[in-house]
Amino acid sequence: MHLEGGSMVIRNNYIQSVEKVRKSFVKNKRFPSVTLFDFFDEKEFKGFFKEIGKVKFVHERDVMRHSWSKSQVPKKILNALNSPEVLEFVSTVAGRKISCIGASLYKFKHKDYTILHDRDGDRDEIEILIDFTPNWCGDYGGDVFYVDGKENYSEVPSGANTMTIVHKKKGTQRFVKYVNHLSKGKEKIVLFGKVLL
Amino acid sequence: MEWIHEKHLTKLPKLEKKPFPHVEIDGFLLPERGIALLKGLMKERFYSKDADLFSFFQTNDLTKAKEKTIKDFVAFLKSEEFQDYVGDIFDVSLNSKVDLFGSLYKNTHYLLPHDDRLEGRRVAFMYYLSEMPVSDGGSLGLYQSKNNNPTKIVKRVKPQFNKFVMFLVSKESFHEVEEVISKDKQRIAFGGWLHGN
Repeated sequence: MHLEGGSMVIRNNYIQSVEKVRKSFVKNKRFPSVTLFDFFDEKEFKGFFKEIGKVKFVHERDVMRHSWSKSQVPKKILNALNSPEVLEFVSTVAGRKISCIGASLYKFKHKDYTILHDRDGDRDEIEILIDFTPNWCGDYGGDVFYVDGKENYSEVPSGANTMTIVHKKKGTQRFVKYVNHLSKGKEKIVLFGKVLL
Repeated sequence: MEWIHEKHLTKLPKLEKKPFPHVEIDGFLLPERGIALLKGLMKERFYSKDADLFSFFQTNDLTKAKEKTIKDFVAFLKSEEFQDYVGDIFDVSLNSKVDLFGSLYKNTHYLLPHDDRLEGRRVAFMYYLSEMPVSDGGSLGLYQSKNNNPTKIVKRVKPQFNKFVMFLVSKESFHEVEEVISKDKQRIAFGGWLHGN
């Protein structure tokens, strides 16, 4: 499948091995998930990154829940996420028919974070995470974690052009670790998407 | 009492009411007690604590410690004299149950905003055993709140050797430990709670 103009969004090797990706996804029974590195076609990803550079982020802080900068997802990226190619890929990996992906874009810089709260984890859902951050170091914080009701943690691998698909079961919550001063002005840019089944 | 410096016995420390009831007492214990407690604490084992809300090192429950100096400190905290002293400051009734642990914050460590509320906890306390200049972080930030939600920090308490801080645990007692921004300084303290009915 292709976007308008005939370009592929997803790297061909993933398209070819989608069943293998599905197997990896279901293998982890506690946190069914898979992280795909260099997921998007390189040219497409560069285009996405350029679009992100044009949008306005607004900083928000709800002390007991989060501190982040948030933006709407640029149309080019949202269209790519909702292309037949990506929807079919995610549907196959997640093992369920997915009709639409809604998303928001976030930046996390020094002193930003999210904290676990009761309202997260109410539903059984599929989440998409796309990391757009070049040259991020784990020592800075900012990593994304999932935790279940029994305090089992799963860390999402990070890296620019990384796509993670997660089956976030009921009772599982997500947080972004506090970004510390070692980040020295760098920003983690991540898209969180929810799948409408 | 052979623990508290005489100047704090002849006159009760001043209770500050904003943003919530607390006291900050410099030079609280007899200096030799503070030095002995620091030595005793550094013999304890510290464990890494890492979650959405925090990153630091902490000991196990020190009310079960075998080290004599710490055992004596626990006995002091549980003593009728100390319980009455605190009860008079805050006008609360305590029941001699005490929680006590040691904490160690190094570079990038932090504790995000929270209110300490858990059944039975009436007064939270911190006894500092190291100095942290403002530029090195590690301060205790006290939040103003509106409708039981924290809004902004209105007071910062700088760690200082032999400083004792206490506050009334309530729906408004939101506080945090600011990130430590120092490669070589450490924030060392005892912390815990006095319980009541």
